Amino acid sequence: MTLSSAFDIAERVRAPRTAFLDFPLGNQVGPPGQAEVQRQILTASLELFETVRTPGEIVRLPFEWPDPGWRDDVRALYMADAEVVRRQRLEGEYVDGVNIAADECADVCSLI
Amino acid sequence: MLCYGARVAGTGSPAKGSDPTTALQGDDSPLRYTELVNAVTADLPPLPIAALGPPLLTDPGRALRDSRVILITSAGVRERDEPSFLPTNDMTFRTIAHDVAATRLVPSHPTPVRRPAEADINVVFPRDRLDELAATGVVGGSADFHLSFLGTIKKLTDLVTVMAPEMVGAARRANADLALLVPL
Repeated sequence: MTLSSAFDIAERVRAPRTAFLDFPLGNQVGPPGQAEVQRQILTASLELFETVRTPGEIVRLPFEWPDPGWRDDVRALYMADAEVVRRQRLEGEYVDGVNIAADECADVCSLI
Repeated sequence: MLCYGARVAGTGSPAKGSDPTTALQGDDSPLRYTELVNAVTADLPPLPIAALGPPLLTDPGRALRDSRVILITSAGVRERDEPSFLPTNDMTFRTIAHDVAATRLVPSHPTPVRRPAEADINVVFPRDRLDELAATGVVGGSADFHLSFLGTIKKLTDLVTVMAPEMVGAARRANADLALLVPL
């Protein structure tokens, strides 16, 4: 079981079972310090072991982040930090100008 | 050639369109992080994401209330006096004994996404919550130890062919029945 907050990545990866929690990244099991909500989220996720019957199924959990504007905040952050994002991609995906991440992706997919 | 797109027509929430311009417009549908990243790094090729083929669904074989659960985190959770994971391509994983107090655990993720876990490790490594669910009979219990690695890995072939099988072996040694992966 995967408990994910990145729906588009969950769609592509297609783990055997995925519980999708539409929360800001970093709060995968709920808001910090909120034990009861975290217990509810963890319970809802684990219960999918008994209910999911279709391989690759993604089930959206029925919880909402307290701040309804959080998605706009994340979009604004990415816009504001575009150079940081770009630098992280260059550092993480390229070695000596070669896009090793793309090569690795192609190589691992060829194993299937 | 980049690997894009799921290879399995599974069920689940319907996918939205992939127009990158929508990534920066406001709406309440799930954020599409790959599109956000691609939109702000438009001079680079799209993020490569591997689609590894049809998933396999294994019957757990026992009820949740009778099952021992192992937690697997990609937030690089470690004991605070241990060295941190390498910021990228750390091809190791660590075991975290279940009886290590949550207050001794810290995340190693190199980006600000680690900050909620710095305030409360349970948001990425729900060790205390798992104990509470075991105490109330929701789950049978916890595995003897849990697994932690840092998900900033681009060496996908080594990840799939070496590291992942080693983690499977470790999960078996931990006497786990079910595995919950919490990716960050």
